[in-house]
Amino acid sequence: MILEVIGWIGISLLAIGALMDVIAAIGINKFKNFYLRLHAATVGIIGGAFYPLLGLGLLSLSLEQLGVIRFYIAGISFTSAFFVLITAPVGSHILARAAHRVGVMPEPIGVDRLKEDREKGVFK
Amino acid sequence: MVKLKDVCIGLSLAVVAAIVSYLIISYNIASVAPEANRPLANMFLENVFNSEKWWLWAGSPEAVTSILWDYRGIDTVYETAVFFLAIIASIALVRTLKLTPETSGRGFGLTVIAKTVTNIVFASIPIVAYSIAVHGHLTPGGGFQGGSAFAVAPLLAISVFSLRVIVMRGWSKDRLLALRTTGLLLIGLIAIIVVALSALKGIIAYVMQNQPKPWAPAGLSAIVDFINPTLISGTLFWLNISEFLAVGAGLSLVFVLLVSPTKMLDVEVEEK
Repeated sequence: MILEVIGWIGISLLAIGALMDVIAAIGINKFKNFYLRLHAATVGIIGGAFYPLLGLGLLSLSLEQLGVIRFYIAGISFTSAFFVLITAPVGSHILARAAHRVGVMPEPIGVDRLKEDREKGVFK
Repeated sequence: MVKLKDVCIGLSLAVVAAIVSYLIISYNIASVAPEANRPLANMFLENVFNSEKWWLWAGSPEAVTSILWDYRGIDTVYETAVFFLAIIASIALVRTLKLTPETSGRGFGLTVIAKTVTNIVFASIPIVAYSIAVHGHLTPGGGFQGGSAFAVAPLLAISVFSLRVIVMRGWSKDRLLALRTTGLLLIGLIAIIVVALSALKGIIAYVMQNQPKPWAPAGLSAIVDFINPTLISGTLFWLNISEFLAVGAGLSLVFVLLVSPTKMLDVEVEEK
């Protein structure tokens, strides 16, 4: 019973991941400037890679007919999911920082606190 | 929105690709790979871990590693030597380079967010790399792949923490080159260790021999009784570890040299 529930949670996470990938692809094509497209890319990584990996791990845990192998699959899936979870935001953070430093600005721009702080000397 | 020109270009490219692939396949210009294994592949798959044919086996279930380090082991030794010479040549190009903390940049690095996450990832890369290397005789992977995975660690650290931090932690040119040379010397040692050991008993053996043959009954045993009986496939395990050392240090050295700024080159020595 509990295994079935875990399996269905896994399958739904996989489905959510597929949906997120489609949304991210549409966003990459449709969004107007760099920062918005970066947002879409991060949706694609966290939604389209982290959730499915988590779901794959849960799904393999629920399949008893796989034997001991299911723990290997689940372990590798969870480890990969953890590293995707911690590295993807850093990647987009560094990209956004680099874009801001070379002066890529969205149009129109209302307020830019980072630029103000940098002019004041809070950040290098 | 969609221009007619773009549609035409896309359609014509698709038509050309379809016609070319049809021609290639149907007129046997390039044959399609058969679904069945070739006889050579079947021979390797049958013999590589078949202890009944002990005169042909390599003692490892991993066919690629067996072929690389056993069936055509000398080829891989020379390949490693060629790679070593390439690194020597690249060091010779920058022989006046002085890697000191004073000359290697400002050392700011990226933001705190990036540094924190990189600390976690940086610690886990060598573990994964070493695991790839020591399981090289059991699963796909091996010394070269493990070493390449390890070399990601200095690359990541250079781009996030800056070169200065890496140099201050002691990743010097001489030390990396010493590790690289140690790896290559170990490979050379393992290549002749079976010959040397069997010469003491008066048996003639081959260079790079792994498992015993009927006409050369010498070799390292495939299973070692370490806590539990463990499969190490004779020389393959040690060769993988040596190759890991050699490739990991060599690629790290190349990455450190590639990102070094030009002003670190000591020009005065060059002018003499």
